[in-house]
Parts: sequence; structure tokens; C-alpha cells
Amino acid sequence: MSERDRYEGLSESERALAETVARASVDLDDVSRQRIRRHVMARVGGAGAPAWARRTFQRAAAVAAITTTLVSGASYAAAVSLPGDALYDVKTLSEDVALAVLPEGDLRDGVRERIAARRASEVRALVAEGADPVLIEEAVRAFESAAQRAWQETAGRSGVLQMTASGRRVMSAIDDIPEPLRERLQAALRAEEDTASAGGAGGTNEAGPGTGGTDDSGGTDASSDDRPGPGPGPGGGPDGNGSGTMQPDGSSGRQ
Amino acid sequence: MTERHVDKLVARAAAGDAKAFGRLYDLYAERVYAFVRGRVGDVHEAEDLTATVFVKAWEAIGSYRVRGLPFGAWLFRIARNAIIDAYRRSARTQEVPVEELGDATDEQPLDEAVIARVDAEVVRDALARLTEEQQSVIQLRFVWDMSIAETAVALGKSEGAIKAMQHRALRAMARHLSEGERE
Repeated sequence: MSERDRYEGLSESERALAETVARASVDLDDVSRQRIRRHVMARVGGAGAPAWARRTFQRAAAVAAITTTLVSGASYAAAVSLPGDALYDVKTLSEDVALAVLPEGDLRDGVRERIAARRASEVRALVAEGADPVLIEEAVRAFESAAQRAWQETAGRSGVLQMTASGRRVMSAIDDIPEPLRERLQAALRAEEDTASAGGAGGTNEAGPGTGGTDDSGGTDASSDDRPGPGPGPGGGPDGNGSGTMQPDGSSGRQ
Repeated sequence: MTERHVDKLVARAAAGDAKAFGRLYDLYAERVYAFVRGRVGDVHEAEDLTATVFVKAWEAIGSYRVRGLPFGAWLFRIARNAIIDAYRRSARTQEVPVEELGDATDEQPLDEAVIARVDAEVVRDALARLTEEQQSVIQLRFVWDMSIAETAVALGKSEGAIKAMQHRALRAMARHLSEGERE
């Protein structure tokens, strides 16, 4: 916009004031600007990575989608099972298989993130169906463990937090979980994000938002340590120090 | 950076290109921050809100239509709503000192000597004493660099209303600055 247009219809004194306002208002220093940028780009998919890095990641995401479909195709019922279901062990076994065959890298990172998303979805589903609080508590802990592994493995290997499409799916899954559990899960994510960011390289990498990816319910995401136990059967309950409002009530199995 | 370049970046960002969105951030960060900073007293809160605005923009950019509202106006609306949400969340209410502003016929002259002396903090204080709409007009016109017509679109007002609001806002600011000078 030209100077003439910018100050159209203003007297000289009004123009002087307008110019003063413009000068006074823009005070975002470079350090703050970059700090906000890192925060924003961590949410949208990283910042500043070369195009080849994005393409590599996108290819990996596509392969992950294919792998996911192949493995989960063995048993859709198992893939959508929840902690406490008979088929839940089949689901987690398929996850173990997927992780066991994957080398370290973007593909494995993506799977790790989808594991966390899957654990979050399980918490949401258990809460929605009014499951046993013991089971929910275990699912929450499984999520915290999955998030920790996903974030730490990714950040530890690449030096940056890569918030990909899977990562956003984790966020999205959490959004639908009612309080106070949602705050607890978000706190777990923030803790991992802070840890990863603190050890990161300053946000100079960029991961594209990802392509492909499949619905969480059909994934092969897995970790033998990132899922609830077999359920609060005799002697199999939690250690009783659960936080939040979800306390063991001694009941067993899903309701 | 022309409007056409901005539209291209927006289209790429809408297709999932994070780097293009990063460029949009670079282009608009100062403007968004300046607007937010004028509404919240704390620098850190202003930074958090600025980040929130851009994250919300990223989440919604898939629904943005290049041929509709100009991107700057669209982003401004997100910023404005984010501030309203933040106020609601914190259960704080902003005093809107409409009664302090006088009416449109207030013809107190602008003292250019006063204007020349005031520092940035004083100007921001004077700006903060305007009504929400007046602040928006001043920010969009002289910080976001929007024309009268663009400002009218962003705020959903007529061009005549924007001109009148701009005039009143500058007069009110001048009065606040003069008062500050006398104190």
C-alpha cells in the first residue's frame, strides 16, 4: 500500500500520530520471534528442513501406512480391541512384530507416534463406555509410557522433536477425552515435548505434515511396554498409587 | 511480498506444506504480535497467544478460500477470537472505557509536539484505552497496513464506518496522550 493510501483522509497531525502508533506497536524482537516460531512449527510439522527431508519422511509415512494395512488386515477385530478384551493381546502382538522388523528411522518414529495415538484412543474409548477405573488407570499409564517412548526415541535420534501427522493425531485423540484425564494426558505430552525441545537442535529441521497414515484402529503400532496389562484380574491390578481421580475400586474386567 | 505471493503460500500451506506456513508466520508474526500485545499486559502471555493464533490458523487453513476474505483479514479474525477466548478462559473482563472517549465531535487538536515526545510504552497505553473496535481499526490500518476497504472487510463494517472510527480513535488517542503529558 502506498503512503498516500495508507494515510488517506488524515490531517498532518493525525498522520504523525498514526506513524507513531506504527512504530510503537512493532516490538517483537528476533529472539521472541524465533521462540514463537519454534513453538508454532513444532505443532505444524517442524521448521526449515530441506525438501528432500520432507520427501523422505513422506515416503516413510506411506510405507508405514502400507505396513499397517497389511499387518492389521490379519484381524480387524483384534485391531479395534480394547484393554480387557480377549483379542487385545493379539493386537499388541501384531504391534510387537511391526516394531521388531523396523529399523530405526522415520518409519519407526511414525509407528511409535501412532502407538501413542492408539493408546490415547483406547483411553478415550474406555472412558466413553464407562469401563472399570482400574483398567482406565492402566490405559492412562500405558499412554504416558508410549508418549515418552515416541518422543524420546524420535528426539533422541534426530535431535529435534518432530511433530508429524501422527503426533497431531495424538493431540486430537486427547482432545476428546473428558477432564481430568485429558489434562493428565496433555501434561504427559507437554513434559515429553519440553524434554525433547530442551535437548533439540533449535528447531532447524522440518518434517512435513506427512501423507498416508491410516486410522488408528487399523494400525500395527506397537510396543510391548506401551500398553495396559492383561487387565485387573486376581493379583493383576495396579499398584494402587494411581493419580487423578481414577482410583482402583477392586473390580475386575471391563464393565 | 505481493498479495499473489501470499495467496500462493496460503495454497501451499493448505495442501500441508509446513514450510510455506512458516513463511506466512514470518510475514505476519509482527502484526499478530503487535495486535495481541496491545490487548494483554504480559509479554509472555502475548507470545503464547501469538503462537496460539498461528496454530489455530494452521488447523483451519484447509478451509480458507483464497478468493474469499483476504488472508490478513482472515488471520486477524482468528487473532481477535483467540483473545476473546483467552479472556473468557481466564474469567477476566476488559474494561471498555467507551464513556471516557468523548463523542465524534470532540475536536481537541492534536499536539504534534506531544506526539513527537511520547515513547512506545505511552502510545501503547493510549491505544489500550480505546474501545476494542477502535483499537482494531488503528492496528489494521497502521500496523497491519490495510486500506480502508480491507479494514472494512476484516471488521465487517462499511468503509464510512471505518473512516469515522479511525477519526475518533486518533482523536481519543491524542487526548489521552495530552492528558499523560500534563500529569
